[in-house]
Amino acid sequence: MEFLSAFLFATASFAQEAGSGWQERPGERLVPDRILVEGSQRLEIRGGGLLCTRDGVGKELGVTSGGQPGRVFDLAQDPAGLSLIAAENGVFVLSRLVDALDPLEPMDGFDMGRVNSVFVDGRRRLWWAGEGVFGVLDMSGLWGRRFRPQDLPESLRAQRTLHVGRARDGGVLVVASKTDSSVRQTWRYRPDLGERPRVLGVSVDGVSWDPEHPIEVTYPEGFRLRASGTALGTASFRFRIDEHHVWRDLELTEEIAGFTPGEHTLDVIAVDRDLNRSEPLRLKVHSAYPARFDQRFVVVALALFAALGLGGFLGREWRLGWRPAWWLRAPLSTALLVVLTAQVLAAIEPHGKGWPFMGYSMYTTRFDRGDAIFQVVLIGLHQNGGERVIPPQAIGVAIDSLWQVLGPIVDGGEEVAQEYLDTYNELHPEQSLVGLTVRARRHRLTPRGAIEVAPQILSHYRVPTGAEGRGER
Amino acid sequence: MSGPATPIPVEELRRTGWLAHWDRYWFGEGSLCRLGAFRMILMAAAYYAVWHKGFGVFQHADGADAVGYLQRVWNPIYAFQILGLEAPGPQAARRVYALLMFFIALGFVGLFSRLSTFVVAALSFYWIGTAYSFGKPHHDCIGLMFALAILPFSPVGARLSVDSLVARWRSARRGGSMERPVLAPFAGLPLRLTMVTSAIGYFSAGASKLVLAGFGWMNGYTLLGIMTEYRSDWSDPLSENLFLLQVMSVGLIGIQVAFPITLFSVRSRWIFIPMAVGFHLMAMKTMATGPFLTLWFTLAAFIALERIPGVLRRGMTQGPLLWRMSFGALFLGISYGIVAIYMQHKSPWLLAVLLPIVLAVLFQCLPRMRVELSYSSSAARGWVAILRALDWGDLLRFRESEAGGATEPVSMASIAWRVPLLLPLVPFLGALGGMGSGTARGSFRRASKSAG
Repeated sequence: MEFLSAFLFATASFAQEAGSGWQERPGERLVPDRILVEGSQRLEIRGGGLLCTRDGVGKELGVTSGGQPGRVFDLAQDPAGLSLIAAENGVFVLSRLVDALDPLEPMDGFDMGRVNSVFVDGRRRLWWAGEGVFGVLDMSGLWGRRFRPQDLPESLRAQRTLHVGRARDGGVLVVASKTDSSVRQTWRYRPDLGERPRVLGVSVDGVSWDPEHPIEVTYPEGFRLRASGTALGTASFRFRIDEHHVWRDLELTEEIAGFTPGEHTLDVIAVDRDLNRSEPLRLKVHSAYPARFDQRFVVVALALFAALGLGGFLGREWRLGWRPAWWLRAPLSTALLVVLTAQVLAAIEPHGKGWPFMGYSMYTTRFDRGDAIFQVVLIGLHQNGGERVIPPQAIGVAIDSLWQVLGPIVDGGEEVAQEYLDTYNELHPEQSLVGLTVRARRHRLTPRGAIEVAPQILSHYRVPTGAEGRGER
Repeated sequence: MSGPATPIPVEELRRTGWLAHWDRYWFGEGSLCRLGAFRMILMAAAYYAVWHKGFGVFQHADGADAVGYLQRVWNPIYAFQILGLEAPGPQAARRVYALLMFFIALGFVGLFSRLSTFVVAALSFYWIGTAYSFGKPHHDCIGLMFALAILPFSPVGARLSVDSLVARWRSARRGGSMERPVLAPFAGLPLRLTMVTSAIGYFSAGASKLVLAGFGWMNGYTLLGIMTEYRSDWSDPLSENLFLLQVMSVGLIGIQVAFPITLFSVRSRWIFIPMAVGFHLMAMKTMATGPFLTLWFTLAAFIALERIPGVLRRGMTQGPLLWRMSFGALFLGISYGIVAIYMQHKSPWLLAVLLPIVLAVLFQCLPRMRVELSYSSSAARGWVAILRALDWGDLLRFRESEAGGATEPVSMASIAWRVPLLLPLVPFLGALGGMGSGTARGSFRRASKSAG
């Protein structure tokens, strides 16, 4: 009976928008995080500025973008160890391992606008609110969404200033106010209530496409891909090629191109407003060789070229007087001519798999001042809180690229991470690990050298205390 | 199948025109000693390359690729697609590896030289191509591959080989000469193809940077970014000085683009070859590119290898003691030291540096000694005859004694200068060092076991 009364009281007291996840919570106050403690680091908002102490000693923090962060509004702690600072001049990210604040740079040029407050949930989603906007950003991939006005409760839509924070009973607390100090409305948003997003279909160059059929292209041509699907708050779509860890915005990609000759996979996902993902819709792409790399063309062209060369060189030997001891010069000269020509052609127009005739386009990317450099490492977490960089091949594999191992860990969820841990711990019992982090260390290029800034944590997994074989992610 | 064993006819030398230049460049007379030494270096480099890529090939061939972690993708290189070559299974991989090791050994000592180098070339192409078909092709074995491919078409076993010993022995038994040939047509062919291939590679690497990234590539930030992304031992100290990085960038591009000058100017090699070695060394220590040991060894094509013993002998046996010690320490320190730095200071490599230096310096300090070797049996006489007939017989300077034996005047200094000649053995040491790595060995065993 008591339970029923409580239920009736709850339903009567709180206005809610059915099915939307929103519930009005008058009286619940949002207490901004003014102090963050991460290990030996303590961050505090004091007098509108940011005070940082490490091991009790004050620490001067630089800003990689130059200038100052301005007035600091809010702090948030990422479970993977990053600190987020919402300030007048943007959102900055910091880790206790570095000495500089770095502007948070979402992918695809996503603009968060002026941010008043931030809050990171257990799934490493950064919820943020600003001047009339409320959104969420995936801290692993740094891609996000804004809530559309129709996704907000009617009474919130007209409000100029929004704030977010953790609700007492879970979920995201959103506070709307006309000014920062005068609280006007309080709503709690409970994410993840909608059905899982789904990709219903795709079109290629405007034509509906059956995923069972491979998409045929000729290198380096591409195609325009669009998708349809269902998701709470309308579906947005992302894609990736060959299981790359970066999911790119489909709407912003006019043409998907650059498939090297051969077979490829193209995964498309639908994303809802809470950044829940659908099962990927996998498309196969067959990229054909352009005419100049067509095997028949290459073989015939080489054969003709060699035949011409051989004819010429044999003719020369004939004119000089046929001497059996020197006859080998003609075929060898032909071979040299073909090999050297092919080497030069490959250097001009490389084929990725043309070894031993190769291009030399490695290290041709130009960097400039202020560019961010990523260095991805796999970090093993020890029981005592320590951590160490471990080579991904430490589980007994030979690799050409870190991503051969890191890709499955980033993508595969806790099962894959746990499997890696099991294998590693079996091979290295003296260095037993309880967690894995795939960390993209980041450096900004400055005239004083490369300054390390807060990393991007691509994946973070730790076996829960007392658990065996499974953990939280 | 090979070029003529006889000297070049006079009418050949009188020919003019660009085809005559072509013929003389590729098929003219070259030093057989240089070719023999180059063969040994190539075999050593092939051994290193085959061993180095063996783990990856076996892993995939055995289906033991990290208990399901790796994407087991067979994406064959273009040549394999044309030739229709498939991925080897476990048995085939083992057979190819065993055959390679066997024929590399034959090629190194120069037994059945043409056959063995031909087989090494063909199987190395398949082995390295297989590794690149399971992963990403790299640039380290391009020069090696072309050099191996052309090697059998030159008089590759005419010197510094068991073949040459046998040939001269047979000649002597037929009453012919035991004289060692010095020059022969076609002898420069593998060296020149390797040189041209290297020049194309370095020039293209430099030119690609300028074409694709523009002169802005040399702004210092690009090198800083690369060093930061591929951080290695020496990255941090260098990355704090932008001006130094700009100078390095200009130097790097300059050396790469101008490298073809080495084809036309022998003297320029005194600048470009050390700079190329330095470039790879710096790349490894600042950009973690890996040792590129095979590339480094193929640069031997630019060096007058046949002159090295003379230079070493003069430097380490003539002049005041201090000079001899300094020369020995400097030469050994540079040659073996670079290798040790390449090998990231792992203990076998430190030993590879320290041991020859210590030996050489120690021997220089010791008083001269004479060791007398006496023999009387006909068998012993036969062996001494064989030893003297070896290409290395010059180094052994046996002298008949009045008592019917032989004495070898051995001064320690005369031993010391020979130590650097062991440099081509370095890749073999690398394999031994690597095989001692418990992690790699244990991991592979576990991966194999887990695969079933």
